[in-house]
Amino acid sequence: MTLPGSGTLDYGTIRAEFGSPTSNVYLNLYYRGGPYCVNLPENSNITTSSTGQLAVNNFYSSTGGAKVAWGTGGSYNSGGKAPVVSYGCGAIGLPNMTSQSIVIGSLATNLSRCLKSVGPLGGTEMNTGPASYQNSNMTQRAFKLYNSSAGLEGTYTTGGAAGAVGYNVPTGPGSYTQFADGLNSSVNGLPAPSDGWGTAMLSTYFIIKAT
Amino acid sequence: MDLSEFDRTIKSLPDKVRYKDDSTGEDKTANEAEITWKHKYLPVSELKFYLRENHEFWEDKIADREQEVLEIWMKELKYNSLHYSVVDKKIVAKGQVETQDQIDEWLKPNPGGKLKPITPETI
Repeated sequence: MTLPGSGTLDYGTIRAEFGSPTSNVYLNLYYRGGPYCVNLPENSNITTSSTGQLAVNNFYSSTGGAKVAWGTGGSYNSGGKAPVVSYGCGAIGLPNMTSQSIVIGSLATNLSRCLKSVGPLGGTEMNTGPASYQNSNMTQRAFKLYNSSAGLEGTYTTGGAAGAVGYNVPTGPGSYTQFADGLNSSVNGLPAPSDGWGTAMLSTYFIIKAT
Repeated sequence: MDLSEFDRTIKSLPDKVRYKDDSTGEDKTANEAEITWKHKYLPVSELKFYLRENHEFWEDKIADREQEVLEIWMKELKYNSLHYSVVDKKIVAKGQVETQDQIDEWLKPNPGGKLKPITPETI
């Protein structure tokens, strides 16, 4: 749900969408990237500065609701004879996700790992928690990657085996790998995962939204 | 300290607010709700939150605000947030050793017998 794209927009309507701790409405409470306004394309007309200028018409079509995960990623080289370089958050040598809560379809869960690795058995990896095991919300689900300016950097779409009954993708504890998804999907003639994420974007500030 | 004994009341406000239902693309109206947290006996502030009724993230946003309210109360009760945090509606000291298992681990980390023996696999 979002705010309307035209017509009268009063302060109460903005407060009701984003939430407010006070009955008085202070627009500067709702700067993008702050505690009440997520850094998403729908909110791109809203300034990112808590001291920046804000007007009511900046809030047309904006949303206070999207539950997305974000973090500032890093990179890690495993070393050895067959090194694997990982970019992202939530694994050995990488920072933790800053905010893990995410909604995947109708599944409210946590995204504790989000990375892309380059090397043997490399690819995209996510940890979406035990509730995502054999959960149809994971099947052919698009995970959109946004940068700090709310620009779309790329989309990763899971394959047909992901979340399907009878497949261990993700595993019982919720560990998803592109490799397992691709292998199971390929063997069983299901749609393959499609990876549009870049490694550079995962090693800086990023936001993940499941759509 | 346990902070869990509070009342949370929800009052529907009379004014209508607008929103767009993404599933139908229609503009709709709803009432706004005022949620109030008031502790039953501790001398702490009464705190509020305002949100549209039937908001997509009603539960999540109220849960986030409730945690914020408990942290505000913790500070009002003169607990330093550097050393204390609110976990499961209780003020707890960060890193405090409380249970017997934690005490034993603290006195002697990784003692003998911590890892249970297993039968080795036969190849």
